[in-house]
Amino acid sequence: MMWINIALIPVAGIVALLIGLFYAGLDRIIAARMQERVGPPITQPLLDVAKLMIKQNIVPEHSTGWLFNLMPIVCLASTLAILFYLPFGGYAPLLGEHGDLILVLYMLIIPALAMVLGGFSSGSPYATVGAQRKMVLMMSYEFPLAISVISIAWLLTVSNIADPFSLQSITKNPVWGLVGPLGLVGLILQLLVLLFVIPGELGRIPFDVHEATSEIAGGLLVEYSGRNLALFYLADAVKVVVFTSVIIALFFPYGVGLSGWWGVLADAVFYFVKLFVLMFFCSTLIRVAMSRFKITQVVYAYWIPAIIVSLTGLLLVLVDALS
Amino acid sequence: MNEKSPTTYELLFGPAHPGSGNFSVKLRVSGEQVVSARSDPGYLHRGFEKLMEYRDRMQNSILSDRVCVLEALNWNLVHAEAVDELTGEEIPDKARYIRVLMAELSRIQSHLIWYGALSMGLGFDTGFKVAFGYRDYLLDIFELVTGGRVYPAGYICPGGVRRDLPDSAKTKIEKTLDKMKIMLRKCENFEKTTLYPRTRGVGVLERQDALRLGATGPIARASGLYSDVRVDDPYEIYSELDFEIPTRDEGDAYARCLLGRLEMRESMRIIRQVLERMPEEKLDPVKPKIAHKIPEGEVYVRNEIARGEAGIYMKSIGEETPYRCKIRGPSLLHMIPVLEHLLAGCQIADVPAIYWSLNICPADMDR
Repeated sequence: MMWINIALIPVAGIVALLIGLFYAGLDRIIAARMQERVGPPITQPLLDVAKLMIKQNIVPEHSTGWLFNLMPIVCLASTLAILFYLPFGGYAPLLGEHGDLILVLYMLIIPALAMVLGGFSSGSPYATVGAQRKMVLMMSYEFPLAISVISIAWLLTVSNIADPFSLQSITKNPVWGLVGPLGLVGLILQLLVLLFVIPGELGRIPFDVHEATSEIAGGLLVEYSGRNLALFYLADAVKVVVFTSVIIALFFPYGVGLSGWWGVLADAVFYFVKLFVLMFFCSTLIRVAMSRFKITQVVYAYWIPAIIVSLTGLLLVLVDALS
Repeated sequence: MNEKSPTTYELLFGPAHPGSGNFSVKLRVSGEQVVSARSDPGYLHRGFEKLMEYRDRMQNSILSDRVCVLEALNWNLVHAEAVDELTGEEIPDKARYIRVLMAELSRIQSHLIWYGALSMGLGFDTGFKVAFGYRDYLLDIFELVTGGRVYPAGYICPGGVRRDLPDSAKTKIEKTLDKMKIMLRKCENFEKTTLYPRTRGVGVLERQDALRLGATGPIARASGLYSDVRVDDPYEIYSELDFEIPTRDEGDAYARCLLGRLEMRESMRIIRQVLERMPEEKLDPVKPKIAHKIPEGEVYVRNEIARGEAGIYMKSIGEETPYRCKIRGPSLLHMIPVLEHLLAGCQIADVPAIYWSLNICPADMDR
């Protein structure tokens, strides 16, 4: 079984890239329609990547060359790697035997960290400002994210479910069935916090302080071009799939429930619909309706309201489970 | 924080920056804090003042489009008025109405660019796309009336306007104004999550600073100064029209942005009045005359354009071409003293907010 899984990884990786690009195209079209525009064709992100791949790859004179070229690869590889630890619509993750929720939580940091290192190594003041901002952004959203995830794992622990940190046991026992009315409210609050964290993780408007085209000219990606930029672009597209998949695995692990090949197909379609709905709310809608925050406003938004909401949610889950 | 302190570094906001125009601001930055700012103009210098000395009045009229791309018709009007005052020519009544009509349409068009550019600077992509999308309706009107979408090629020229208003123009303008009204309401609805949190209390220009640094137009009015050339020193038919000059007391970037929207409303009021009172008579097109000398004399004409007070000083010694022409663009003072004053001490994230809230145009500064 395990060897089959490992053989499946390259296939799954390519499929994930294509799905990510497909959603990026969809995102652009929907955003365009909301802005009274026609928008690009759905294949535009794919064409962008293809074009970037054949463009010249410029490494700035003042950069640390090997780090500068390595980081896009690390970013894409780590983003794809998270995907292999996530269960898809009731099917076991490809590398499920090796990892759990804690691992995923840590691995979510790596793509962002790779971007920070890439920015610092490029030796441009814009990229340095962007990298500093990205670090502050990471520090801001990690805490509410951790509270939300931990409260779910803790809920599984008190419900006497074996292996509470394994994503597979979370998907087999949907959290909504484990709580009473108070806990339900608590879980909804946790879901809201996670939905609020995702645009930050993705670095989309209003949380794109580290790129901020009109302030610091593209921030930590300012010196990147050609193949390296294409890799970051791909990583960004896959990130949407990854982060929404984490939410689906934690909160909406339901399948259609049919058997046979039709069941597999129905599950897959249902999964893509869930992905699409979450992506619409976390990325497209917010991006169209808001302007960019300042870094101080980002820190405030994550540290005060988000933490209060997630702690309240944790408290509610706690009271509900213990009473 | 000292400017020479080793912890500061230089950050260039322009000229090759997606958030600036053809203009550069050299920022001295410490962390996220801007310690000092120095404007670095000259990237768009085309030497109009000298070029105008070698061209006759109709050719200069076409040149005057190019002074500021974003409001070409207003600059046409300033130039035409300067020459008219020198020659003392009688302008037909209808031409005066058409001049004001086109100038106000151009003002709305320019304010839409202002709103769009400010939105882009704040990362509010929708505002940028919507504003520039609606601007296209106005460009359609310009194309119908003047023949050019962006450059009217001297439509408002010395002696009147180059040709009469087409018959279909009136209904088309009214329809477009209705669309603009809807667009402005949409902008207001989005304001709480978009412009408000980023511009409130940012880049406050006090009243006395606005006076001291020479701010004019909407920038001065947002700081509580009631000054508008259309009222203080009325030209064309403005004294016959009924409109208000909105002012705000806060002086911050939000007040300036809000003022832009209020002014668009007033401009729409003016346009509706002008369309109502437009004389019915047929207007003869103004044809360029060869070897047509400008009488001796010197004038300074000032107009209220979208960005503030625009002036042209023209001296003639009785030749076909002006002896000297000095162009005073409102952006010169807004982009050097006012901008440097406001940027010192702000955050990097506030730079585009302040920069674009000043409704700047590098073109009319560098000339």
